[in-house]
Amino acid sequence: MHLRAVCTLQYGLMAVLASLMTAPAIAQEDLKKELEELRERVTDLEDTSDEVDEKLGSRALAKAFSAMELSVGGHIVNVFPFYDGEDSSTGGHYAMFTELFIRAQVADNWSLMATPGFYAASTTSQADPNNPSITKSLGSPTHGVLTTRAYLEYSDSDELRVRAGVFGTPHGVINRLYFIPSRLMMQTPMMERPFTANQVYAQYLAGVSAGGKLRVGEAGDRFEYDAYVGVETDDPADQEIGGRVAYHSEALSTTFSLNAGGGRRPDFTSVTGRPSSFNVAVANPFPVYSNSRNRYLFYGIETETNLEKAVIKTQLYKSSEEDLQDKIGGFAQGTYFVTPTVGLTYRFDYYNAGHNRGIAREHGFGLVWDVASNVRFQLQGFHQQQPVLDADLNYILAGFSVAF
Amino acid sequence: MKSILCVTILLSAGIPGERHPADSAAGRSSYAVIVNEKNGYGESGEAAKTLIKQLFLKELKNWPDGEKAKPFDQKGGSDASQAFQKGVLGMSKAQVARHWLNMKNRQGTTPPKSVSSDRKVVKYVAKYKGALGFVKAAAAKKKGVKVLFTF
Repeated sequence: MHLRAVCTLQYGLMAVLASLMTAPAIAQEDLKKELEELRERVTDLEDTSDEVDEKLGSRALAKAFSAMELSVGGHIVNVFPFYDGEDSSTGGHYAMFTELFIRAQVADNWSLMATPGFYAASTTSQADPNNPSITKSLGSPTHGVLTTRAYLEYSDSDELRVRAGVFGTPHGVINRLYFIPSRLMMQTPMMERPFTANQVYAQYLAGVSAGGKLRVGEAGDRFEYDAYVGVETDDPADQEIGGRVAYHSEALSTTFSLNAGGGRRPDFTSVTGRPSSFNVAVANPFPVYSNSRNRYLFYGIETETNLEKAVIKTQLYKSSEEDLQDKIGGFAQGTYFVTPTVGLTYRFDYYNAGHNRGIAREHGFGLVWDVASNVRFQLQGFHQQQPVLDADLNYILAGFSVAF
Repeated sequence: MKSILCVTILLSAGIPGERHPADSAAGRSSYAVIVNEKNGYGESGEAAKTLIKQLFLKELKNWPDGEKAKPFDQKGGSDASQAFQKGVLGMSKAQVARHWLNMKNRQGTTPPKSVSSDRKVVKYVAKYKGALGFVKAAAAKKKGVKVLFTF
């Protein structure tokens, strides 16, 4: 309605201008006054329209009750893995994850961020990232709600940002980027796959984190830092602490980071023995055994390079376990964009989860196609050399994601 | 009759401040990055271009003096937007799209507000001290804004 009024007034202005050019000189003063008045009215209407637009966002449908600014978005991820064991066993499942991003700027330096997620999946260890179970029964769908991030943030500058609530840890190149959806897919490296007792570092915590970044020189380089203390949401008994420092070189389009942390492993005493099937094994190549609760420290390095036609990600982590053998894992992944929207990926993933459970290696080949700026199709094939089972495993993952 | 003729001439000349389609022939136009006239940032050249890139992509939130940056974009697909992506960001449209998906995933950060004309960009940049935007060079000579660099 505002826009229509603005248009009408603009045409009115033109008509007045046209009249000005033809009217007798005596009437010109009156017309000029009228023109000024119309101009003011147009400006007022435009300001009102801008104000409404500013509050709602140009594409938002909802109005924030008390926030200065409200952003709502999300994504839907669907994956359909198919497993083909070299012992002739096969399996498959599906997983669907819908995650909403809700961010409200509640005051100048204060904001709220929440990402409620809704998932549905067939019952495998990949299905429920919050509470993995090791059943292999398919055809019995599970579903639920998961809030992977919900925090209050204070930030008055680039140098300081403090978050309190449930937040993602700063470790892991893919963990930082894809976060929880990656646990539903095999996009995450083996060191991050369920179960949490098998992971090198925690992926998300309830607690407090602080961090920021500093400009270094005028060439665009940055120094970044993060530190946190918190508890795993499914294991609130013990604190985890950690941090990350990173240096971004604009000239190399690369970020180098150092990571360290520690805590106590969560207990999954009910999950023991070898993986009972391939579709379980792919999620977690290593069996978790009783009394896995023990103190640990970890250290890791990462690099992330973003070029116009290629993205390269690497990381190497090692843990120091109090009662168990140490874990060591790493991966190198390169994506080459054949066209601006079609990329080919290869990843080599290595993980030794410690305690004489063998070494798993995985080769992954992928094709991603960004059909539109917010729609992605993906097709990936993996070959996993199993540490425990008697035969290796091949699996294919097809899926798509839509962001809004 | 004369009035109708004049209105027709005015309409065909376009609304003042809006870009005429004939101006948009690729390669002929030069564009300017503008900031609020009260902005104290004094660098130019590559250093300024790098900072503008980081502020526009929201990798940094503040100007060096601590003022909060408020970037404005032009409608996607416009000549100005394409020229800015190529000349200042040094990124393809697909790269920019991936960047904003990543920023949203990581911290819920959304792209800069997108507006539909040079006139509106100038108006917003003149309104907010930390604002920045890009317009056709010819449209940059307005009260309340100053040119940081052209591309």
